[in-house]
Amino acid sequence: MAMSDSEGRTDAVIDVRDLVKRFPAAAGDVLAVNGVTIQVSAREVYGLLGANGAGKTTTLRMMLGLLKPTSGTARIAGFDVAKFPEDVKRNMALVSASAALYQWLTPRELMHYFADLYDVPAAAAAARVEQLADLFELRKFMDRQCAGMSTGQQQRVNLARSLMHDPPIVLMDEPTRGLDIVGSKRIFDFTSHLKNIGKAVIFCTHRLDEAQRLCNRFGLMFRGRLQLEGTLDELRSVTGRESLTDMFLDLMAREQQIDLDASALKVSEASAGKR
Amino acid sequence: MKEGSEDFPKVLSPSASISAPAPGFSNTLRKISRLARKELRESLRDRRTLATLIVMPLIVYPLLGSVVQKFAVSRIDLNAPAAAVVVDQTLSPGLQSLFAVPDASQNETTAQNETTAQNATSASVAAGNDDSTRSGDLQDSGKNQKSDDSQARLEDLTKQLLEGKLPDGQSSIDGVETTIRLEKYIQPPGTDLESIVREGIADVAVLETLPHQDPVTGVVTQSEIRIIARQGDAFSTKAATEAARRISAFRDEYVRAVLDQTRFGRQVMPAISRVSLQSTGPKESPLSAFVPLMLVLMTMTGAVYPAIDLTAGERERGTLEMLIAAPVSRRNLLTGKFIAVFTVAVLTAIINLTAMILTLYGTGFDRVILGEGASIGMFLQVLSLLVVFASFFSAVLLSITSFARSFREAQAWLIPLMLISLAPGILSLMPGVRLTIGLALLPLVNIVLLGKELFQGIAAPHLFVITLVATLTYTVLALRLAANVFGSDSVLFANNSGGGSLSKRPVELTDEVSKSQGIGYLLALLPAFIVLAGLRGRLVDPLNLSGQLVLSGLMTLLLFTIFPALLTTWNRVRTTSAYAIRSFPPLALLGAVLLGATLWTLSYEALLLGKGTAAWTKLLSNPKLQELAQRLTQETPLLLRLLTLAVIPAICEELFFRGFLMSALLGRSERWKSALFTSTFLFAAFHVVVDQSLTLERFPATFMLGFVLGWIRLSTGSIFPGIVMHAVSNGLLLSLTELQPLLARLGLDLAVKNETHLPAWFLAISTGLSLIGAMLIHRSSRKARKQHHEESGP
Repeated sequence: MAMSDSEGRTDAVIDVRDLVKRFPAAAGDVLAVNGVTIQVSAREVYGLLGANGAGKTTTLRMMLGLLKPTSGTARIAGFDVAKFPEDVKRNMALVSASAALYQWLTPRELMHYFADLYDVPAAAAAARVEQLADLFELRKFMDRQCAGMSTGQQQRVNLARSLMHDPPIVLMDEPTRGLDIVGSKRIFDFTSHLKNIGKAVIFCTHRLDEAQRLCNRFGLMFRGRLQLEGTLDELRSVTGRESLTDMFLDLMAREQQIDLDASALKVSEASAGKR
Repeated sequence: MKEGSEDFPKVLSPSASISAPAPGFSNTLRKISRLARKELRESLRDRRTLATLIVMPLIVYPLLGSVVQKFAVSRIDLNAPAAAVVVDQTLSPGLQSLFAVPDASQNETTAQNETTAQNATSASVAAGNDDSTRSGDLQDSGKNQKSDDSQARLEDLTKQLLEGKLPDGQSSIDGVETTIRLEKYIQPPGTDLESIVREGIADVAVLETLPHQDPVTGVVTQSEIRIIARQGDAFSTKAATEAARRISAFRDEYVRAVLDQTRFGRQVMPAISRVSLQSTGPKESPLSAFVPLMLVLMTMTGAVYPAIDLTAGERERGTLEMLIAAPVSRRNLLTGKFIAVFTVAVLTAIINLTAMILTLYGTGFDRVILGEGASIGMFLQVLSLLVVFASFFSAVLLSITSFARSFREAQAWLIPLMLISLAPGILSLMPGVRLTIGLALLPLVNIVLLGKELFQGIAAPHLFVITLVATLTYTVLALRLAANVFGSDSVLFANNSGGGSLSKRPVELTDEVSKSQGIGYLLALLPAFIVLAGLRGRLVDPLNLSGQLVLSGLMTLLLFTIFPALLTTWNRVRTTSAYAIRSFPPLALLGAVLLGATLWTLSYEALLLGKGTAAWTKLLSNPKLQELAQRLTQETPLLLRLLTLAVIPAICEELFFRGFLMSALLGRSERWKSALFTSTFLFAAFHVVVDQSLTLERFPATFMLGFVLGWIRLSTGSIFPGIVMHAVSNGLLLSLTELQPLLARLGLDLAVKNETHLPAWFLAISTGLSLIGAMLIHRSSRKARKQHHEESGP
């Protein structure tokens, strides 16, 4: 784990330390996140990478205060997640591929609804709806119910509604899932734009090739642990590999070797992490 | 979206969020209303909600109304099928004439039945236009010489009877008592009257035996007219009643005619007349309970869909995550959802009530069901009742659907709820059931009964208030539960594989009883208890109290220890942790003994204090229970009583309520308060329903006992001190009679019925000892916690 960086960042707007999440289950506990420390500053896109079930989404949920960590701390924009959950949520947007839209509402209603939930003043909200509608080219279906929209359209509406309160921090959880090439490219372009205007972005994906082009820094998650962290150059020098994909494959091979060597207890813990 | 990052307009600012926190109560309200408005808008746009909301009542009530109307009309319909009366050819013609002759057309289709040629001529009688073809029969009878006068009377009577009139001149079409048409068929030769009825060929048989003298003994048997009907067949029974009525009217008239021949004359035979008065009490129509039940059910249906949709549905579709990512507390989210579900339920109630009253008015049933007829006041009262019920049911629904991960799962949860709700509803359908204080506390039953009484205009105001307050209390409790469940991580982000399947046995040992195991067992407990209690009465004579005691002990052992133990073993829950079988500080044991020995004085005094007020006296004095207690002390050995009512319950109930249940309620959380209160409430509630009658007077005392026991279990971390206290407490109360001489020497008189307070010095000492006991436990608890912490530490 690359811990070297963590103490030095004083400007980090996302600052989580030693996060652990243990899910109780009938067949023994599942260690979904095992001691994750991440710092992200403004004007940064942090790629949180890993296979499905590596613990990325659970980490994001703990940052947002949706899940209570078993142990560890999270500070977002200076607010402790455990103590000021609402302030944390105000400063964050969550764009998630798994999120769906309310089928019976129109994008306009949806955006106004979320503006109200985030206490955006009415006048500002109205102006913002128009701006975001232009930005994401939603004009044509602003007043149609969400039920009939394509995946790409829904994803754009989702982006627009999650940015209604213009937060300094944006969490993107597999935002390109289910999108075609054009749709994915739009998301990438927009993420770069967010970085350029000074937002802090965490970009979660299991598609390492697309992350490699987009993010400034990377964290490779595997079985609940942050196994590698740093800029692409740093990672290359540490691992001696050129691409993120190769690094990841090495990582998996190494873990499997550890599994074979480990004691019975170790095996059960690792398999719990895998679940 | 525009291409290229430099093309993005300056929509997004560099850093600051425009989300401005506006704390304060008014903002909370504003937000809740915003949430509720959106949920409502969403629900009302959904066609499925609209279907239950508007279309259902618009169709159901008129349809039901017309069906009921049709049914009611058909009861007095002359075209209704006539009952077939089969008679022997030799039956007196006078009696034969009491039954009409079937239509000729019908005659062809029913080949089984023969009509005699003589009767065929008067077939038109059946249709009601009697042309007095009967006179011949009566003349032919020739059993007695009758004056023309009395013969004319008999003819008159026969005619009346055939037209379906009552002998005293009352018309049969006056409502409740309707006659049934009886058609006569002659018994075919070679058949048996009884088997004709038994096989259903005819509905009733009429058989006459003439008086005869036994040649040997010389005893004269009375003549008899026997009416044979089919058992369990309502139509046949009704026909037999009608036949008997006609025959006895005929016989009466015949006797009068005979009396006329004597010096007494017909005047000596009293006439029976019947007068029906309008009742001043409740006018009970089966419909008057059915209508509120219907309204309640429809209100329930209205709330079900949105409740599922806004909780489980939202989770399933994946919209919940963005909602909880917003800066709104989960309690407010749930409140918003509650308001939306509640509003839909109230709308359903209003539409249903309106549609129903219009239907009643339109079909003319309003006078049958409504005591005073429809009025605005009654409408508003019933509506307020439905509003309160809607709030209660919405809260219950949300607390259940919040558990579910998907629409389908929520539906599966709700079916049992609906069935359970139906049972009390049907109970209140029974005629003569009135709302009492006890019933006013029972959810759903109170609403249906109160609704019925409101319709009849006989509802008592204080029961109205009690019902409303109780229902609102349950609403708040259900909402709290819903908020707890809705906000819990395990429900929000549960992986679907974890949903405790019955067939899959876990591989690894766990420490806690899971929530689903706890709830599942609780749900199974009540029916199991009822079945076992029934068995207990069957296996051993209920009067054999010792036998009953032994079976009771076994029952407690099964329900509270063996069955839960099987469940936890199957699910590989570690027994020591599930039942809190741990070591404890020795001083805690002393504290438990002290508490067990002294705490009862407080509940005794509380009971006496409560008795002071008139309302409670009625509720508290339960002579049946007191009598049982007395018989127990007289008829069973003390040791057996101590074993089955003190030792076994102490061990088993502690293992269950403070072990199994507490473990399930606590889970891994630190929420000991809610676990303590819930387990105590269930403990007390169990002791209330343990007898056939609801023994509400046991609630305060058992609640206090349960609370202290729960506290001991949580403080010491062990089940054992509680077992000791429970056993001491129960044992002391059981041996009161045996201790009586000793107590009397101390100047104590302890019979609740004597209502004497304990002497002050005694109370002071026992309270002091209670406090010392509590202190000892509190002290040792800190030590226990420290020890426990060290054990489980890193």
